[in-house]
Amino acid sequence: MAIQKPYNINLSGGIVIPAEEDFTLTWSVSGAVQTHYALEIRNNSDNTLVHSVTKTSSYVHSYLLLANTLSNGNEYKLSITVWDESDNSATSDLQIFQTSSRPTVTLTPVGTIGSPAYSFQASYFQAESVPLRYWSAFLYDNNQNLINQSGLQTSSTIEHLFSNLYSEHTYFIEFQVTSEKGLINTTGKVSFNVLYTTPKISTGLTAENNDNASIKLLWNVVQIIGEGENFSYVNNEKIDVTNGKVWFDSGFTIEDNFTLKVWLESVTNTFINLNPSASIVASSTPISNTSNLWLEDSNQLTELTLPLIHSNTAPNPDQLWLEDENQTTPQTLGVILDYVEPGSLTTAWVDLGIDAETIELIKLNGSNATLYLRYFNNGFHLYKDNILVDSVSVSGSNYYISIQQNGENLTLNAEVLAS
Amino acid sequence: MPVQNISSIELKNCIVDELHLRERTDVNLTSSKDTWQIDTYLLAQFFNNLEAGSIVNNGIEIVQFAIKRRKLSEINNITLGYVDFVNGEVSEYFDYTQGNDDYIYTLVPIAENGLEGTVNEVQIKSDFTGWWIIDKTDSNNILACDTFLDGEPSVFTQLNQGRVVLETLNRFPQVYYTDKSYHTFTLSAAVPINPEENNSTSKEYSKILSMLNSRKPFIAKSGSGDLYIVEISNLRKGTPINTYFGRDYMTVNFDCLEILSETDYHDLY
Repeated sequence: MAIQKPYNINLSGGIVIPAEEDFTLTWSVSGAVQTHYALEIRNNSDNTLVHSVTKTSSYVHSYLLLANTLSNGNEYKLSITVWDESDNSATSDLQIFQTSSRPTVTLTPVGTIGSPAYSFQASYFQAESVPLRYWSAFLYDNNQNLINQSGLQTSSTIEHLFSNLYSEHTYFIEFQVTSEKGLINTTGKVSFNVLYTTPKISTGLTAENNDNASIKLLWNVVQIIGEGENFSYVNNEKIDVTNGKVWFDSGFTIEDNFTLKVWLESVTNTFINLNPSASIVASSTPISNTSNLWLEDSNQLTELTLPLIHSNTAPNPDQLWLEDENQTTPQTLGVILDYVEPGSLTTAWVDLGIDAETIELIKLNGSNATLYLRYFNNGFHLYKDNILVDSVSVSGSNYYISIQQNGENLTLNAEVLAS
Repeated sequence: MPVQNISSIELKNCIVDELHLRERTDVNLTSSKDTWQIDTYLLAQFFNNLEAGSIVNNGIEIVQFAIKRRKLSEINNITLGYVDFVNGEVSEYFDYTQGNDDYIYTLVPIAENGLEGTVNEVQIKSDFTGWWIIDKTDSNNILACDTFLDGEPSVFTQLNQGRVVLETLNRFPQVYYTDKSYHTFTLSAAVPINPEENNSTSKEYSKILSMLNSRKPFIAKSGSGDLYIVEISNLRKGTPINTYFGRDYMTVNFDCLEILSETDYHDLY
């Protein structure tokens, strides 16, 4: 039996191929074994011969039509002739096909997405102005597993909103377009990151098997929101209360023991000095070895300047010394330099007129007392109400401070941090 | 006397990087910063906000939590329910709808503007025995089928498939399949009666009848990992002939017909 005309030709039925890409033409034969083939491709509008292959020895039922052999935007007709070993030949029916450029789809650059939802966009282009037939958008997780898709869309605008994107996650987006000629192209999977501020949470979430074949979930969340005035943020990670203050007064109660750790910067020092020319005027109140003297000038706005009256040379120039001329032994009194008025008249106090507010850094209000942390004279000083509890001499600008209350004991630690 | 009941703290006259208040005093006092600890009262980091609790939400109040769940091998979560936010108190949620598998539970904070926040997850392997009938909409409607009186009965589940078999003149028939594919099975529960609790067969039976006659779909789950959404019918009751006060018990049998997928069930209920 002689060879029959080729059939099952894959370039037929009006199929559209992109001329800028290689295409493997295939066919089937029957009746006898193919020993040779030839083919012709003509322009369907004017029958112009565009491409041909003369009788070629081959048992293979395929031919590689190289890219750019044809040009896009045209309609062609193809015929294939085959020979058998007896030199019988048969020519296929004319096969009509078209060429068209594969469309391009370009994703609008995404960058880092700053919200849980984002509307992704892409643009379509086709060299012969073949319109868009439909498109689809695909969303993949970090492992390129498909997690969501738009389905086939026919709108001319290629835009799709994907939501429920988690912060600090990486995803992949892909757009796929199909032209009216049926040619498809894709952006490929393009990765993007999501980063936005979200509630950071430490819940202590636990799960356990429970009665009645159930799972019991437990968690504990505390939300504390402070208030403030005349403050600003520094580099989105610090707060400047140099000229204002911030406070937290809800959402917590420290019953007794605690540890406070705080990192402070730009702490300015205030020097509190006693004018060495100060003088004291004492009354004739009898003075014992344990007596202290308290002096105050309530109108004083700055350092108190008092002449020092002594009839004998003071044993030590930094000691306040009073003499009772009837006393045979000079009395030496220690002087407490402070700005806080003593609660009783048993402490010698020289009012320096310093405003405590200007040197106060932290205040903790309890039900029975208040703790103050102050910085002056190159040191941190911890007060419980008006009583000095602990001091640490340290000089710098940036500090780490810890305060602990353990029963009755209050301790203060401070160290300088590098700027 | 120590300073007691400190409930406010004020900061001023400097720049503050971070403030951390804790209950414990046996802690590391180095200058290294810690995250929120179990004994933390307050942790203010001043990341453009004045938040100092265990949850930071740019000053936006958290109003509730969404409870979500997925199997370890899956990507998508199902939402089990919502719990209102109670500040500073331990909250709990019971999930009766899980099968015996490895799960990841997710706690999602939801702000007053509907924004979902960063999730917290915990993993657990569910571990129960027997068969259980669960009503997702009412946690009081639970029927345990995990006790038996004689032997150790098995539950046989039948898969009902849509098949069309066509006899032809050929040697073998042609078989065509439809989408039909559902399970049917029968469960039984031994229900102990405790007269000391003022209980009786009739009272217990009424309770079960009321539950199963509600015409709702139920979750039927087993310790071997089965989980079906079923419609229940044909309730049968068995009581021994020779019963007396103090030895009163009952068995109930009922038929289960699978009617929904687990995913569809959670979407609907």
